[in-house]
Amino acid sequence: MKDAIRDKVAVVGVGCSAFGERWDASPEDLIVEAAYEAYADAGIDDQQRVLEAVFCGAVYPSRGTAEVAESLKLFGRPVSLVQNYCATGTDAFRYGVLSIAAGLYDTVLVVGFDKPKDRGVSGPSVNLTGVRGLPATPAAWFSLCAARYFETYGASREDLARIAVKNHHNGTLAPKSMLKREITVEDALGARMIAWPFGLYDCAAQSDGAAAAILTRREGARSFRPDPVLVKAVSIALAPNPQGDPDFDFLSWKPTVYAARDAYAQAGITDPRSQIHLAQLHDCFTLTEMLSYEDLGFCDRGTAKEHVAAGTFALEGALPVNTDGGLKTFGHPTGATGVRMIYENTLQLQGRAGPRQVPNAGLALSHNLGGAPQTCGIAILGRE
Amino acid sequence: MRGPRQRAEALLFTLTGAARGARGRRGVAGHLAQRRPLPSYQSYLASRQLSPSDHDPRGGGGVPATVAYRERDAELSLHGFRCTGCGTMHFPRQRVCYRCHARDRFEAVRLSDRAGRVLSYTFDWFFPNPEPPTIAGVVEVEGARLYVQMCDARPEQLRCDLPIEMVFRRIHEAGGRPNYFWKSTPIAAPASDAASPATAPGGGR
Ligand SMILES: [Zn+2]
Repeated sequence: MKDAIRDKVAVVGVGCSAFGERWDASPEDLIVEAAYEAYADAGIDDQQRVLEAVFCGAVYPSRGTAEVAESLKLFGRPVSLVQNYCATGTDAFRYGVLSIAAGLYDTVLVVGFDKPKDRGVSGPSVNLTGVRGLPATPAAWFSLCAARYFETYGASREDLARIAVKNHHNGTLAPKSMLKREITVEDALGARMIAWPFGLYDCAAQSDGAAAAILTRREGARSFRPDPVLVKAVSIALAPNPQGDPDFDFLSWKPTVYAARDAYAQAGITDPRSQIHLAQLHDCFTLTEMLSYEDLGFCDRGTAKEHVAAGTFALEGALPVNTDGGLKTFGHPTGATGVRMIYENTLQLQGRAGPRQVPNAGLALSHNLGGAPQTCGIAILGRE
Repeated sequence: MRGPRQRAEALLFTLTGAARGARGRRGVAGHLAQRRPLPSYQSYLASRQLSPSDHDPRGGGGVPATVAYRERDAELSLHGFRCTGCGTMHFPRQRVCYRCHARDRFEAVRLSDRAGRVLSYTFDWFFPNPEPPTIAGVVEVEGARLYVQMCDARPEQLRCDLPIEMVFRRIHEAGGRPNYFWKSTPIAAPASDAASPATAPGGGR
C-alpha cells in the first residue's frame, strides 16, 4: 500500500517563528510564536476544541512534551515528542499525517522546535565520552564524501561555494531567515576552514526557532481555508553508519536514496526532475545539498556541478532549491527545520511566497538528512 | 571574597538613606547564626572541589570504565570481526552482520599489524587540537572500515587509496587520565621539505 496516505491529509495552517540567535526568547516564546501564526493561518480561534492531538519534534528539549503542552496550554489530549536526528521535524509531521490517515483524528497540530543557543556552546559540543569516532563534529562527518567525490567527478570547492551564494541570495528574500546578506564565491572560498572542503560559508549556523503546521482530513480541509495543500508522501529511512558501512561508496548518501525511493512510490512520481517544481533540501553543508541533487534524481550522477553552474537550482532555474535560503540562512534548530520546510513549501504552493515565489508551483519536496548521516526524512506536498 | 586559599578581598560599604529599608533584615550575623557547619574538613575539601580523589570536573567523568572494558577488543587490541557466514569484515564488534544478517557468527581478526588504505578523508579545524587541522577519515584494513584520525602526516600527502598502517596513540585526557586508541599513519612516507603549506589541499582552494 505505497499510496496509502496520498491525498488523504491536508495542511491547512502553517506558522514559523523568526529564526536566529533569539537570546531574549524562551522555547515557550518560540513555540507560541509559531503555533499562534498557524492557528491564524488556518482560521482557528477555538484551538482548545479543534486540536485533538499534538506531535512535537525536538532534539534538545529541556522539558520534553511539557514544553509544548505547557506553552500552549493544550492538555487533556495526546502530546508526543519524536526525535530522529536532523529529520526530527519531518518525522513529527509524519506521525501527524499517519494519525489522520489512520482515522484517529480529524485535526492535529505539529510543532518542531529547538533552542540550542541556551546550551552554552556556540557550535555543536565535542563529545569525549569515548575514544572512537573522533573528531565527532558534524562538519567532519558530512565532509566524508568530499575527497572521493571530488576525485571521481572533478568537482571542487568553487562548485560548493556557488551553492552557498545561491542560498544566501534566497535568504535575503525570506522575512524569517537569520542571515540576510549576499555573499560572493570569493567570500566563501576565502573564509576560514572548518573541515575541508567546508569553509565557514559552507556550513549552516546554529540558531533558535520553531515552526508549526495544522493538519486535517482532506474532506474537511476547505472549512479551514480555500486553498489547502495535500500531503502526497512522507517517508523516513535509515542506512548504516557510513563510517563503518562495508558497502558505502563515498559518492552518495544512502539514507536519501532509500527515502526518495519510498516517497516517490507513495506519491506516484516516476520522473522527479520534471514532476517536482521546487524543493527544500538539507543544506547543513553545501556538499550535502550537492549530493542530494543526485540522490533525489534531480540530475544524473556526477553532473551536479554542471547544473549548479547553469543555475538549474536557482530561484529562476528549472528546479529551484532552498527558495527561502535553507539551513544556510535560517540556521538549524534541529527539531524545527523539517517543519520550517513544510511552512515554506506550503506558502509556495499557495502562491504566498512573495518575492521568492516560484511560478505555477504544483508539487514541492522537503528533505532532511541527519546523524553520521544515517537518517533521511522526505515530505512531498502538492496543490489540491 | 574569592578563591579558596590564595587571596582575600574586602569591600566596605557606607549605608546611605536609600538603604534604610534594609534595616530589620537578618543581616550577616543572622545568617551566620542560622548556619549549618560542614561536618568535617573532608567535606569542606569536597565542597570546594579540592579533594584529590575527585575527577577533574573540567574533563568530565571521561570514558566510563565499564565501556572501556567492554570495548577492549576493538579499542586496545584492534580486532575486527569477520562474519563466518559471508566473510564481511566489521569494526567494531557487531551482533548482526551488515550484509547477510547472520547473528553472532563472527571470528576476531587482528588488524593492528596489517596495512590498509585511505578511503576518504577530511582536515578538521574545529576539533580541539593545538596544531590544527586534525586529519581524519575512513581507512580500510583487511576489509574492515575504521573512522580514525591520522598522525605523522602532512595534509598535502593525503589522497584516496593512500597506503596506511595503524599505530597506538594517546587520544585525549578526558576524566583526567590518558585515553588510548589507534590512529592511521602513511606507510614509509618520504619526508619532502619542498612542499609548501600554501598549496596544501587542506588550506585555501
Ligand atoms: Zn554475513
